[in-house]
Amino acid sequence: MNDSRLIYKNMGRNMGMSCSPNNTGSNSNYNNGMNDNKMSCNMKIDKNRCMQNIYELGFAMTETILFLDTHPDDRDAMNYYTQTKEQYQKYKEYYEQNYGPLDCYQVENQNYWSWVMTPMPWEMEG
Amino acid sequence: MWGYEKRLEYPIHIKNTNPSLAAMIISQYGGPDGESGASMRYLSQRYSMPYRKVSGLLTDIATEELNHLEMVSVMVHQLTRNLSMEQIKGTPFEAYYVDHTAGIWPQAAGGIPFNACEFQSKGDAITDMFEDMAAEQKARTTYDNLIRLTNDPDVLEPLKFLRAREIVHFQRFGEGLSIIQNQLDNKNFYMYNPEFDKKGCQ
Repeated sequence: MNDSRLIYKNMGRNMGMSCSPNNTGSNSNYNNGMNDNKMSCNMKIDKNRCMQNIYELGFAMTETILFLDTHPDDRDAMNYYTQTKEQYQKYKEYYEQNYGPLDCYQVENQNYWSWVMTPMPWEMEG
Repeated sequence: MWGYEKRLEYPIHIKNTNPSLAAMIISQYGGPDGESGASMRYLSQRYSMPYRKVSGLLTDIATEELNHLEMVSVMVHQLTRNLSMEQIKGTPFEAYYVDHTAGIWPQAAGGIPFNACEFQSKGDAITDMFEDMAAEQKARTTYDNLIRLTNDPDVLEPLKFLRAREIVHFQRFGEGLSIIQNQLDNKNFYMYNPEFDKKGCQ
């Protein structure tokens, strides 16, 4: 059991999350690359970097969920899960505002169903 | 119920096609120890599992296995995109191409179609946990075998990720087994089947 604690504790480190999103509610403009006018220089997050953070935080959540299923009273793991989920949601929201929805519940009220606009994950640009 | 997030569990961008390798990797989609069998096995076992920690674990691992069968499909798809006939002829992919072109279809590396007999749901908590632990090890061995077949880092990285997940799932199912056994008579875990013999349940 100690092994599994080590796995999730080490996972939070070295994630390389050097940028943090600034959720100022900038307008959506998918496919435009970076949306620059509302962000200061060090707050610009390129699409790939943002997705990388989503991958890493999403994985940390998956791993912690399985650990918590068999260790539901582990408070350290609960705290780690809560923090990771918060970060994950922040990046996901930032990504969706700028590059398109990651799930179809996040399609905003626009003139077009943007869920079908962005590439599927198996496409090379996905 | 399930939702869909438009990304993979681990990124895959395979630059070079390789139909021969695709014909081997397809085994982890529809082969005897593939991800389709894994997700269906755990999803099927959940309903009669009387311990919530374990039925929760089965649900969450099954869900992750769905991500894995998507990853395996993406590898096969990217390895077989935009192929010319010259690239297909004479490779192990040729026979698959005849029936499925470059579509994704669940079969083993040897061409045997996916079969529900490839997963087990026995309705006995201890039996199913041992089944699941063995299944994770068999899948890990299959990934070991696939990893030996390629030097392409674009393919190796996702294969190594998937292999590592088998080991984590094995560990979690082992904990699931302990959780079950802790609720049973430690002098005889086999006194009754906790999924069926209601009288004997504690």
